[in-house]
Amino acid sequence: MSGQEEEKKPADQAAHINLKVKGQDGNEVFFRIKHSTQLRKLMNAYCDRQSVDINSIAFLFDGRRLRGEQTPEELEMEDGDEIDAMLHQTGGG
Amino acid sequence: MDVDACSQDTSGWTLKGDITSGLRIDMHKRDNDRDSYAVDVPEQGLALNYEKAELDEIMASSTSYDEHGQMHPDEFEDGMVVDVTSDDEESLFLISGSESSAASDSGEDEGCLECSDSETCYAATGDVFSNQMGIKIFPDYVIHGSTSYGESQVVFSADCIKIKCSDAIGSDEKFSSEWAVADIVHIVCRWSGSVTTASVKLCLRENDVTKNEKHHNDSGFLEVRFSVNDMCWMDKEQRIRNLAARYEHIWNASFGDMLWKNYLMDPNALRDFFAIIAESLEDVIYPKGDPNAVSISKRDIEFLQPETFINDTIIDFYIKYLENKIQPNQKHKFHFFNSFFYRKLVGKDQGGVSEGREAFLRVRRWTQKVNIFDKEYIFIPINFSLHWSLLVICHPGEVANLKGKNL
Repeated sequence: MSGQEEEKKPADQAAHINLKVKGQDGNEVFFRIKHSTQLRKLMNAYCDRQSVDINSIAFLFDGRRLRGEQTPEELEMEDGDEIDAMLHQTGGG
Repeated sequence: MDVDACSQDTSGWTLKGDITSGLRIDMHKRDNDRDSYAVDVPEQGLALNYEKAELDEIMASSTSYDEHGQMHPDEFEDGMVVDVTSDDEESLFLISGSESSAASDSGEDEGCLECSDSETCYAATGDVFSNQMGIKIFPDYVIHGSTSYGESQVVFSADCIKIKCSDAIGSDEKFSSEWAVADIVHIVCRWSGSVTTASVKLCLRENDVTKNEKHHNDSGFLEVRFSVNDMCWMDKEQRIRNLAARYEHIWNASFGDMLWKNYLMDPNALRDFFAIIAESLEDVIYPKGDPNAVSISKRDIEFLQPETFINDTIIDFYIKYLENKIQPNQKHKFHFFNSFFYRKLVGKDQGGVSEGREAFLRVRRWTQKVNIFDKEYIFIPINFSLHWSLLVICHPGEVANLKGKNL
């Protein structure tokens, strides 16, 4: 019985990865998320936690702008990867 | 290289042509020119309006690190990890939530024109009314909000439009109101000769009567649609258009025409149009299917308004757009960074790239799949001090051949 549970556990962990969201001020928040979960969930959680409007933040992974419907799986994210949370920029000419 | 942004075909995204024409990127070939090129964005005032999102309960816990703080596995175990998977998948409701907010009656005319065998063909009587009296229309039905009315009368006159409806389907509701011509934002009319029926869509500003109604949405606009079976509609239409310049002006005007005609007349009117567009627009993902696609939301469209600063999403969209215009066999020569590269490179102190090594480490992973020294031109959009500019690095690969010279 206990042997079965042990086998189950690593498989369950493999379905999750730990991601770090780093703000522009260097502040970091860690998330554990399923490979197949849309990043929207992480974005919302981060913005709730930081009390910022989700529309004021752009999320980037290795320079790619992230969209809420993307998943760690399709972005080939790995455990410990870092996501940048950056304030949107505006400007004129 | 010769990329002429301004003259590119603007089909494919209806808004582009008129709106982005203010943004010009001049990148004409200049021999041996290694200067940076300028992106020219017209002078615009600041009018930013962020809605404050309602925040749900906090579900994350975090810790503050110094800027280059490392992640420690043992601290990981100490409850700093936020588990966002514990909620069931249904909590992804925001996806549909954000879309449904705009999914109010899209007002898209399906073109289903019902031809009533009308005893109510007022074709002949219509001519009786003089232009002073206005032109009276007796539609087969009028749809206002979610209510359809059977018995209705619409009067177009030189200074206003009056709508009177009764016999609502399913209730005995009545509706009667009048709008000054200035409050008619747009009229779309489609004539179907085969069934001698005109289908008309009016976009009106909210007035005192409609403001308190249940159909009220927050856009400040309302839509009234009606269909009229009338042999002489074409003639009537012409007479309505002759009633006042305003009618002629807004009648079936193409979006672009209307946008600029209205802007010239009344800059505030343009804001109204943006409100309408934003209302009817779903998020645009461009280019579709590209892993690096840019997603443009309704909110981003607002940044295209006159006298408004442009945001990074618009800049990144336009860069993607230009990138897509390059011949496939030429694409390998160019690399375009997005608008966050420079911000990330310089870090939080914005003072400049002081610590070269650290700056490099911050963006090292950005180019792990490209060799930027193979490129002929590298484009870096820069947002600095509320100003957009574009840095172009030419022939970076030649740096390796500059051994003997001063760098």
